[in-house]
Amino acid sequence: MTPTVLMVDDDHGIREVARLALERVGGWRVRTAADAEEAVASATAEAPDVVLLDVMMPGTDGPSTLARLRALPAMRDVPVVFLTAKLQPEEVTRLAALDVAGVLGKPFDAMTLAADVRRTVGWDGPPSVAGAS
Amino acid sequence: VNASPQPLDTVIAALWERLAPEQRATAERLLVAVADVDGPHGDGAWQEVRELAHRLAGSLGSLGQREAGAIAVELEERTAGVAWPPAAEVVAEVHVRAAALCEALTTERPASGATPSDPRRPA
Repeated sequence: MTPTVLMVDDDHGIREVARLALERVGGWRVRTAADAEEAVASATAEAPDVVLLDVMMPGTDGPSTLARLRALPAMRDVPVVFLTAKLQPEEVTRLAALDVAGVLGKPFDAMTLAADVRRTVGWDGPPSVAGAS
Repeated sequence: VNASPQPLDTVIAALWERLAPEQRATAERLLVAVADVDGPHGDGAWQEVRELAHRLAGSLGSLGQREAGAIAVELEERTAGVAWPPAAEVVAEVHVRAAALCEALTTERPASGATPSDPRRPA
């Protein structure tokens, strides 16, 4: 079965390049959301298999969006991966301590994004937290 | 699995052509905001500098803009965590690099692969 990814980022350029990468390289279905409201609406309509969630968004940020998604019964066990341009070790540690599968950095490599997500959520082996130290 | 006959970097290059004007405008806003840091609303301008640098750092490298992406990451790292008011030398340094970012975005073409601009960062 083809996995479905929900990509949440306020930057539409990032949403588009991630969509291209995940669809063309990963062969996944990709839905996108620009903010927490759209993410919750999308997940309510159909729970994805994994969520890529930007950390720093205007209004409701990534951690708060995560809390809203986790409040949905169908989203309690869906792996969520944070995307962040802030990869200072203390920030990665803070984010990884939340209810997520891991943290990936921006900018990302479009050629390897799908593999990085697979590895982070444990679909290709043990879960990891990229950038953690 | 690559369902497209076009290589991914070709498709991303086409995406860049569509997004470049907006990214350049964001970089120019950043440059203006840096200049405004010394003005009457300097605190708001500095906040905008940090936000725009963060935004560009996250996007340009993913869109295949290696040089501009590297400068944006440098700007994000230089401004992150620097509270108001920043030291004059920090503002001056950021101004120079923001100008370099604008210049890079006027000359740079899509790279041969959309890769992160900073090898220290995980993909």
